[in-house]
Amino acid sequence: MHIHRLEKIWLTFGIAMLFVFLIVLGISAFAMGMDTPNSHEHHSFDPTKVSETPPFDNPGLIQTGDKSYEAVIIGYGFGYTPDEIEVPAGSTIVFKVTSSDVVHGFEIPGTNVNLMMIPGEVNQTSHTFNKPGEYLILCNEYCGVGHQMMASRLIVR
Amino acid sequence: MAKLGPYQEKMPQGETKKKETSAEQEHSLRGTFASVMILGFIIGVSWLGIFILFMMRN
Repeated sequence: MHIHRLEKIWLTFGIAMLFVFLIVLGISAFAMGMDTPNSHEHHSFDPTKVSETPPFDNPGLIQTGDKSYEAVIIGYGFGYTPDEIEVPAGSTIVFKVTSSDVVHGFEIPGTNVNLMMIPGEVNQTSHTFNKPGEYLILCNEYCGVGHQMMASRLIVR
Repeated sequence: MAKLGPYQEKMPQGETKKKETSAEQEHSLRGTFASVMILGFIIGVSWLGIFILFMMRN
C-alpha cells in the first residue's frame, strides 16, 4: 500500500501523541495513585440511612495523625455538615463525602478537590493545604432552588 | 467490445494506467498536512496547559 510521505509524518505524530497520553495516564494512575473518587469504597449503602451508616453517623473533622485529618462531610439541600472546617497549614485532609438527599457538588476552587456527593455512595479525595487562608467549598451540581446559597468554608491557619 | 458511456473516451489500456498514476502523484497534501499539524499543536498545547494546571493545584 502506498502512503504519502506527509501522511506518514502525521500518522506517526498522531500515534506518538496517543502513546504519550496513555503513558502519562498510566503513570498517574498506577505510580501516583490518582484514581476515581469512588474507588476507595467498594460498597454502596442505603441512602435513607445516612445518619446511621459509619462514618456518616459522626460527620466532622477527625485527626488521624500529625497534620493529617479525615473530613467526613454530608451534603444536604442546601448546605454541608459540618458547615465549617478549620485545620493548621500544611495539613492533609482526606475528604469522604456523601449526600442525604439529591446529588450535590463538593468543590474547593483553586484546588483539585472536586467531587460529586451522590446519595448512597462515598466519594473520596485528599488534598494538602499549604497556604493559609480561607477556602470556599461550594456546590457545583444544580440541586434545587437554594443551590446558589450552598457553600461552606475551610479555614487554614 | 463493451459499449462506452457518454463520458468515457476510447483509449488504449496502457495510456489509461499511465494517466491514473500521474494523477495520484500530482495530489499535493501540503495543505492537509498543515491543517493536521495546526490541529495537533492546538490539542497538544491545550492538553499540556490543563495538565500543568492540574499538577500545580495538586
